[in-house]
Amino acid sequence: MTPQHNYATWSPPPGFVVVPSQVPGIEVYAPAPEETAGPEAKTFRCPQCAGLISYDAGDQELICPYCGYRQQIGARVVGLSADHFEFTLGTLDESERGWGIARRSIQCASCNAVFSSSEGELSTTCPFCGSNRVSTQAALHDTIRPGYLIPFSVERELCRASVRTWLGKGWMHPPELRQAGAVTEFAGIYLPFWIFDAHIDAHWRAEVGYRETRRHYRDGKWETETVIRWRWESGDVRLPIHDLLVYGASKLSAELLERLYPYDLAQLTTYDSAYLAGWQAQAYDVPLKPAWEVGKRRMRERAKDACYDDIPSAHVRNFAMTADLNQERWRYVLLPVYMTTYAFAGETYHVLVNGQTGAIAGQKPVAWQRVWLAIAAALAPGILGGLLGLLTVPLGGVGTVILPVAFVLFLVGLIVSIYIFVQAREADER
Amino acid sequence: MSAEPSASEAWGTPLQIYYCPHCHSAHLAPASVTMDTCPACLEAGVSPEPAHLRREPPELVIPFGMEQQQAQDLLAEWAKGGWFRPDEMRAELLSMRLRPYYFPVWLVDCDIEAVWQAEMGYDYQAASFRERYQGGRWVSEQITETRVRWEPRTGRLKRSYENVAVRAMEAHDAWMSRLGGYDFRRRKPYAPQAIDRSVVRVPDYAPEAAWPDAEQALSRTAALECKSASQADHVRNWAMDARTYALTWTQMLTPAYVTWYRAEEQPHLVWINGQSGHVYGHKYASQRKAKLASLVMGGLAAVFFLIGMLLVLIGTALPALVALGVLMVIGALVLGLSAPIPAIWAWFRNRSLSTREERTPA
Repeated sequence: MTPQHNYATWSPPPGFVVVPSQVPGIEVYAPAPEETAGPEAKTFRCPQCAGLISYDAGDQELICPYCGYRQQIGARVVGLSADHFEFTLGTLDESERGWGIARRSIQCASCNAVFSSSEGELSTTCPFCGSNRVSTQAALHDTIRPGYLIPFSVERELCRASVRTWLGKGWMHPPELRQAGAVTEFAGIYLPFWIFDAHIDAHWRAEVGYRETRRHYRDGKWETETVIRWRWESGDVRLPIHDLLVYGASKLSAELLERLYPYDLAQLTTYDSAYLAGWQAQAYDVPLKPAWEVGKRRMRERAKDACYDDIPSAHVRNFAMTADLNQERWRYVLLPVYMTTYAFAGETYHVLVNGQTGAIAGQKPVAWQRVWLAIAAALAPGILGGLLGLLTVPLGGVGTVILPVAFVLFLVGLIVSIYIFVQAREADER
Repeated sequence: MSAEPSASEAWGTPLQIYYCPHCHSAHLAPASVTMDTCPACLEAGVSPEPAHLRREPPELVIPFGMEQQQAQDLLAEWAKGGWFRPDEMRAELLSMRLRPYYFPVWLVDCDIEAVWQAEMGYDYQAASFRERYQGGRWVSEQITETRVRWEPRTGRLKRSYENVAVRAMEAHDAWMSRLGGYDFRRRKPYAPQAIDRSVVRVPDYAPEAAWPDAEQALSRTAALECKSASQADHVRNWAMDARTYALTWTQMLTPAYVTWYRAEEQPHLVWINGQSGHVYGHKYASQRKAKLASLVMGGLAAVFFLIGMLLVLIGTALPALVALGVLMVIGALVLGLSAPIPAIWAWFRNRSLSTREERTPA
């Protein structure tokens, strides 16, 4: 207790603020809480011309479209070192809420999707179904505020050009899609995602079968018999799972979104409402708990696969396992997606573009006449050859040669036809 | 200029100081109590002689929590059972020798101005998960764990502390662990009647020597208070730069009963915590009784052996007695081999108890 600090002249270290003390005569200082945008929302206006300014994906800063004023965003790239949160029982209560920016919440009257847009945005089209039957409501504040986001880095024009190219690709789609007018409006929207991490300690136990070959001498000759010998085995598997993405809303199909992956999470940036200026954003409607259930299901299936990989045989029965999840953590982030819809033959089709990498995932109609024609063309050589062979068999040698060749051609044509049909059907079902 | 009052005057009762040249402990006893042996080491030869003594009386006393009769009952219970008990380990004798005794503890009062810093721990509940797969189905289980969130805290402290207990004897910690500690909240102001017929141990640890202990005790107290001030559940990495003012040292007396018994000419102390009734003492075995038991067993074995051999010899004429003779010989051999066990057991027990006693200071 050698005095080094003088009681009278001591002052708290930088960044510390006084907090209430429960004992008289004792002062307590704690690190100041990180400054957060509170419930009061802010509007991004140009300090020069007072016009609404918005985030520019190309220059990655705020730009005034009226006078050209530019303003850098103070957020920093934290990447994979972004803070995680534990599954505390009071998680929802402790988490910050609201967007920290003046936003209006919009509900689509056609598909019921809820998303938000900047205050100054005058006209809005639903990015999920393309309808303009939308109604404005106050932005929801009872949602956890996102901690991090990946800003848009693909420009809208670039996105439009690449989608046009993508639409024109593929012989099994209608040629009309190549026309420039199919896709006009692109909505840049930040989609909500939960990111989960955990370490899994799995223990499995199963009967594992090993193939054994035996030779018997029976009725004067040797016979070979293969049997599977079963024995109980067990093992332990340790599996780290990092950055498991779970979509935090229910409007888009998970399959379509997975085709947009991966996102480079090393570019995660601290949340700054400036990145949302002039862009749309969707709040989660799948809260943390049900999203974690989805994440947990995927994790345990991965653990199950890892346990099966640990088993040195393909013959397994009475498999049982436990998976202890440790260091479970979560993050709530926004990831950039361009969305557009287009109508073709009375149907609405979605196209998504990864706002960070430019990867495209979307739906394209299938021109079934083309598909049937291709299948017919694949089968025709075999069928025609077969007919020719049948006709020429009575003539002798030539027919007997043509028939097997035609049969082989038919088999090849059949395989090609099945492949084409499956591909077309998958494209049609997306 | 008035003369400084003597210790007897200050303590409000005539006192005599006894010094033990063997264990170098000093005791105070009222004039009504005579001492010929040291109550701390039981060596004879304590001499009434002046010793350095703080004249001011104790500030506080923890009163005895039991009457002497209750202490005697506890001793009687303690003395029960055991193999080869020494003759003197009898309830009546132990009770007769029972004597009230006080151990000293320093009390520190001071004002502190300090700057402190620490990591405060806050408990929170977190969920962890366990998934089980059996029979093609998954079963999910949520486990709630209490975890600690550590946060830095710093601040200033300006407090007055009273009666912070600090050791007044070199062997304070050993005695507290033997006697099981005291509830200091039950302390009362000192009155001369409190030490009537009691022996009081004189501190052998000066306040100057006890100051580092006092600093630690004050630091611990301050840490707990700062933890409360921060509404925390735990504290770690505690550091405090403090300046102390108005430092005063007083004494507090903690009660015990002491008695003794002799085994193999060696006296052994038995202590009772005067507040909680916790009894501390080693139960030595009587080596004499154990040797006697061994001799009796050996003698019986010899007699059985001789009878057995006789029966075997007679068995040449009466074969029915041969079996009985052989059995007696075997029994005699077993008894003979077991005969040294009591003496060896008592020797080992006493040896291990003496070693343990030697390790603990008086």
